[in-house]
Amino acid sequence: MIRVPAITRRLATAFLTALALVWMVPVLMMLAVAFTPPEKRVTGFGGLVVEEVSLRNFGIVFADAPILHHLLNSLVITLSSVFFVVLFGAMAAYAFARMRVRGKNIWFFLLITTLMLPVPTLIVPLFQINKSLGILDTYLGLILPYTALGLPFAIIILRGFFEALPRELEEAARLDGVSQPRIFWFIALPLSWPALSVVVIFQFMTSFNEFVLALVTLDSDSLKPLSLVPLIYSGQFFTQPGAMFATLTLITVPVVVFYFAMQRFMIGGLTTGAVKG
Amino acid sequence: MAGLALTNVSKDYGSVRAIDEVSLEVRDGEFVVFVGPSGCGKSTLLRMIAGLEEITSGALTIGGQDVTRTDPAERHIAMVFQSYALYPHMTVRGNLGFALRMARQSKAEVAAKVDPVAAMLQLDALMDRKPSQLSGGQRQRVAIGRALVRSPQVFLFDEPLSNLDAELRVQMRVELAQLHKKIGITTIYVTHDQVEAMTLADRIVVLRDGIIEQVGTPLDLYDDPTSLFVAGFIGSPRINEIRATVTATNAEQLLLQLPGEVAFAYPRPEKDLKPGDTVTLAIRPEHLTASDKATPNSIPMDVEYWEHLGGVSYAYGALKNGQRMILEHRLNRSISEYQTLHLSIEPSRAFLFDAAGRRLT
Repeated sequence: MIRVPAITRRLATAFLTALALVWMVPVLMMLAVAFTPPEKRVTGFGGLVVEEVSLRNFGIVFADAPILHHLLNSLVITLSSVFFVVLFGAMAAYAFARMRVRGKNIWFFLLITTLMLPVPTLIVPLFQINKSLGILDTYLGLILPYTALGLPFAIIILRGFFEALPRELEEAARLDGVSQPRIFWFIALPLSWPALSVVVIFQFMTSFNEFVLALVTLDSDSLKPLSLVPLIYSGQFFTQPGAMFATLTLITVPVVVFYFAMQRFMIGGLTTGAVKG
Repeated sequence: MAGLALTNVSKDYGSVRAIDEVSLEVRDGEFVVFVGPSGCGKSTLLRMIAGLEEITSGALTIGGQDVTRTDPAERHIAMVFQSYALYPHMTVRGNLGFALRMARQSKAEVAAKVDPVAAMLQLDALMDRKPSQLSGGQRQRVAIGRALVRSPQVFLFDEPLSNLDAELRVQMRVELAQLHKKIGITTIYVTHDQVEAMTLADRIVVLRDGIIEQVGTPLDLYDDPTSLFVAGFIGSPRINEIRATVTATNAEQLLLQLPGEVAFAYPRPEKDLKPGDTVTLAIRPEHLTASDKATPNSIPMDVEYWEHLGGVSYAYGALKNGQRMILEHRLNRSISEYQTLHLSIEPSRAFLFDAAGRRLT
């Protein structure tokens, strides 16, 4: 361990605390407005000061908009894409790590390049593809692109992990008469949960929060995920900022809960494979 | 159970030849140890027998059947790895029964095979623990048990004790020897530790640069090494090597000049040697006799330090030409006071090697 002088540590803590507080300002504003009674005007310091706490804004949202239905849409789309990313990502990563694949490095390079493309540049082609496949305005129109866009990251993380797994474990299994697919299923996959949890968390947050592709793909309100809710009701809630911010608060809850539930895996997983242990 | 035969087996990695035309027969029930320095190809040869490395050319038979191109799973072999390679996410019971479960045997069948093995290796009390909760020796036993439940024809060990501490290593060595005595499975064991090789093996195979240097019982190799390499590799402390020059020959004898201008007569070998040829005289530390006074033909050694182990003492030093020497000494401790010792060599105890390291007598 490197010893850091106390003064440096204190300065660093102070700087990071300040940074965290600045970063928290929009979140706190969102919460403040959401919890202020609807008839009150927001007061003091950009709305950061709450004089009276009320849940009535949330009441309005639940009464006027089918929030739970949109949450269900979000979960169907998100969980399906997470499932497919983990399934296909793990299989592809294992092949990259352990099997003889012709032109393996070229394929891998191509995968990495896809990470460099910003999602907005893909919107038009993805829209066209969805249209040709006839899956515009369906769950599948989002599940498939989310899966495709999530795979490169998943494969990179999982490949590194599979490569760091001791080869002898798989050799022992081979001598035990286990076929390659079963080695993957019974040995490699159960051992790679730290990396898998990173992929699950990352894919969950990406799919759950995605906005632009959802906006152009889904037309029917009944299919729209939570991320589109503020837009659907922006007209309706135009005069009610409290309700609008209550909606935004509700959208962030599932992601935050999910993240806190999984974060200890995430921190373990991000560094796995980095150092041989 | 079955014997095993390698016939002209080679392994190439690109243009590099790791194993070169190795032929070896291992008898049914025999305990054979592959020994050699790092990179000599001993582990590669073992992995080729296991089927984890392809055999480039040559043939491998197990129990009389050609398995050169057979899948590892169908060779009826079991292997214990240096790192144990236990499945970390399974309990001891899960590890022991994994191969059987994969072969779709019923729970009762798995238990019927796992339980006696667990009892034999004293693992019964640990069955529900994960490998991370076991000590090194216990992990080693689980790895052996996992190999045993499959009732293999041949047992392969790849440096299985090198991750254990010294005391445990000795204990496990004894356990392995007893186990082999009890079950009698043909065993091939790889190690770089010549003590392990000497104590465990029925026969030792000494490998060097991908070829077999010598095959024989531990004492054969000790008493009758065919090369300087084997003489140096087997035996601890290491054999002493003294460079010498042939000064004269006659019908019965060679006259050698040893460091310190010492003349030394040695029975004449079959190979023709001329005056001026260099040879190496090798003698084990316990076969040197030391005295504080010079005797005819004795070689002076400057003592650098002594190691007193109680029953035996070792003197480390150098000859006049700087060559390192080790002397094993048991009686008369008072000679450890002297700075210079005079070493006498009994010609019948010394081995003579030519410049290429081949044995001359």
